[in-house]
Amino acid sequence: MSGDAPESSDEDLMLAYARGEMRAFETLYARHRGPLYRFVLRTIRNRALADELYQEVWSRVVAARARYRPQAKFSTWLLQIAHNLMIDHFRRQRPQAGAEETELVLASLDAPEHERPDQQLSEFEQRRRIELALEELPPEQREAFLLRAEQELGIEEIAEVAGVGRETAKSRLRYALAKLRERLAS
Amino acid sequence: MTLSPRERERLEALVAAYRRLPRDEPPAAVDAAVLKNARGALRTSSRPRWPTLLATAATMTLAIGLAWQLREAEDRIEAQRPAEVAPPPAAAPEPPPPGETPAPPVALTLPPVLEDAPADARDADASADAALEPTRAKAETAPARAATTGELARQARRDEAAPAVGARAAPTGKVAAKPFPAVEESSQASGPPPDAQSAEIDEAREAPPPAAPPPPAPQPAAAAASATQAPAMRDTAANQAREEEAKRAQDALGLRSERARAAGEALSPQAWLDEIARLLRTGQRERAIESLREFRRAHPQVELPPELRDLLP
Repeated sequence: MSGDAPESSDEDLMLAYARGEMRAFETLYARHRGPLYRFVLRTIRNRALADELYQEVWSRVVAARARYRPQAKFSTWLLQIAHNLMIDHFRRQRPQAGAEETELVLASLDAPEHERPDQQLSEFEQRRRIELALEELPPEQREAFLLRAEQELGIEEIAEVAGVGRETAKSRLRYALAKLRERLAS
Repeated sequence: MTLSPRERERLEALVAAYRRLPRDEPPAAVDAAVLKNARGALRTSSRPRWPTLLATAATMTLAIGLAWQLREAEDRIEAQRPAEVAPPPAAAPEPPPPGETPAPPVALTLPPVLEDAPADARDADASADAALEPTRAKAETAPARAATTGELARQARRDEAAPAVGARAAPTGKVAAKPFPAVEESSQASGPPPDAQSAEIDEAREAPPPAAPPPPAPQPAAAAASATQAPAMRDTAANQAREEEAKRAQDALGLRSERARAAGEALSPQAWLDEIARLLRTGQRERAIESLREFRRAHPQVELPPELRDLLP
């Protein structure tokens, strides 16, 4: 993908795209395509659905280009869109459930048999264990960890993306850390 | 971050382990779809400008053009109204200029009569119109007709002012409208009936020698002597004759006979005789006799038909 001048911030590129500069969008997309895709993919845990939601995230970015304000960090704004879409997805799967209940149910789902961590693991399998451990996390904890690991966001930013308070974001990250350690140590 | 150093260390280790995982990337098809959508959004946002402006300009142009056409149509309608209303004013009584013989005074009663019997009147008009060509030639040689030059000219002016009242266009009513003004002039003079007037107008336009109006009995004598009399004297006699004509013309049948007689004056001899015969058949014996007398004076050489021969002593 073509790149723009490295000194152009995400916010400048987004504003340039809003003015009609397609190259600015191409640069912006190249910067965020990978981390965003992995964030959506590992949160949703379904590749086909992740592809669909990932495209929808960028569609919403394009549609909202005129409303974008540089006061909001572009990456935070982008991740918030992704977060909301994924929450909507989870709620659609269980429409009667509230957000917390949805996350608890999802957290209790068993991983597929072939992905169970009790099998003898190679290095590949070890990496796979991490993936499985992530998948076993409740969605909100998984999201918090992925925002930290994939996007390198701080607790404040994680709270902003998830739409929760700072303490809630910290708690989620702590719980995710504890469960991952426990899963990998077992 | 407010995690403890130990928590932070463990977290960083997990993050490092996570980052060793395969780095999944969006498929190329997904990349293409996202970029296509972004490109299309820019085209969509920029597209409607000029077509919208063009459509707006075209709509405004159409609306302005239609409004302009409607206004012109209204103006034309307004302009036609005075012309349509003209007949009554044109037919309004108008004192005959001095030296000119006025139109026949019988016209005021014409409309209802003519409306009731348009067919007959149209027949009379048609016959009058048909005889205009040969009549014009006769008019040139009829000295009695010179007296009505002024009347013809005045009638011509009336016709020009009220084209809608053209005699040929609406034979009965339009022709009848001409004499309307003359009705109020009845106290002053009589004039030729509408049919004769239409013929006289054409003659006035085409040949200075006028067609003589159908004068009453005294008038033919005056007309006969008009060739040697001054125009003023001839006009006076004609006016007097027309007064008498106006009185007789109050009756509907009398009116038609007047027009017929007037038409006969302007008709060819044969047509005149036919008209006289018609008057006789319709019971207008007196008028037939008067017209016959005039005919004899105008065409003494013409042999009368048997049915008319006995009318005159």
